[in-house]
Amino acid sequence: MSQENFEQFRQAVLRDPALQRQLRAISDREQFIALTQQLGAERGFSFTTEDVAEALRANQRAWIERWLQ
Amino acid sequence: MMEAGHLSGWTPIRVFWRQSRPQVDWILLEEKRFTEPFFEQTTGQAMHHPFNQLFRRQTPIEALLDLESISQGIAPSGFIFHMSRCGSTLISQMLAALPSNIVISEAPPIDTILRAHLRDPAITDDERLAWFRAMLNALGQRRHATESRLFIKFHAWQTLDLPLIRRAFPDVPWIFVYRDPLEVMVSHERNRGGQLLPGSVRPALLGLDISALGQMTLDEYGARVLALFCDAALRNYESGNGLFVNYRQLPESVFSSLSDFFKLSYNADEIERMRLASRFDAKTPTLTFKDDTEEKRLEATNALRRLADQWVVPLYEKLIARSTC
Repeated sequence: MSQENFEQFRQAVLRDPALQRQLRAISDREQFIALTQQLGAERGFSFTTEDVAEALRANQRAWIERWLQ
Repeated sequence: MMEAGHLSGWTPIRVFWRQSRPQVDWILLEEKRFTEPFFEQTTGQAMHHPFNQLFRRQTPIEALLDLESISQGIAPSGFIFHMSRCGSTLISQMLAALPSNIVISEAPPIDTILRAHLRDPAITDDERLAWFRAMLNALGQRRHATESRLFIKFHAWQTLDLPLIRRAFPDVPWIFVYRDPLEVMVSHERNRGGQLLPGSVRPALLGLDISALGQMTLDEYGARVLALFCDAALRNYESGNGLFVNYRQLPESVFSSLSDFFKLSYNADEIERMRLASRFDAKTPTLTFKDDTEEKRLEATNALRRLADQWVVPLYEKLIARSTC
């Protein structure tokens, strides 16, 4: 359920330039994970910082492996 | 079309295939300009940002066309083609030193579009042309107030795509940068680039079949590919808007004939920035530039000289004959 919530929040961010700017301004990984969880919670999306960290790891892995596809 | 409205500020960094259709990866570059020698270096750094890792956007390729219909980017001011290892990165780095210039250097998403018909023969030239135009429009979106010009430096093998590129942008001036073939071949012998490895171009373009490639030395293959690039530049010269730029006239010709050709003018500060860029090794800007022409000529073996003379030197002489700089 929390993964679904996170994906819904991800889609909400992709539709909202103000949210994008707010998140893009943070380059520190831990602070970024915390802010993502906090902004999601403020908008009613329930997911944990560990969900965010896992999504980051999965996306990073997919990007690194892109030439293997 | 709904998607395009959300693409403002986003930059396409990759074209990839999903279920046999091309898709586009987009990220937010924000303040980051394309100042590194190659596109992939800039986007690779940007991909390190957690936002881009987590919120990389993926769309069908048609989103490029939708964006083009609602947001006009900066039109290209000039195209840079080259035979590899010949000073083209020096030119692009000098141009990138100016905040007014967006310089896209050897961008994989452009390459994937230009080669799309090799992946799927059903893709037409018209589709590639439309996607190519829309990709340049997306890469030319103004992200900084200072930006007013867009330059594209292509991969060496994209010289072969000049007819399609010229069809897409008939009014954009293009240059082909070249160097004495022996010096280029020595550079590749030291550190062979992907441009001159089997697979960089279709064997049929070299009049070869795949089985012949295995029996050929890498030096001969390289010489024949260099000849192909030079020949493509020469064949497209008559269609106009082209200029051949010899390595030996760099970097001075960037301030003279090349500026005139691209209709550029610089103030004193800009000239200083470009001169500063020219003092460094273009591909490794932490090192100062060192002219290695003599060193390379001394290093060349007789076998390499024979290959250069057989395949590339006659075309090199034709390029010189048609050069004004």
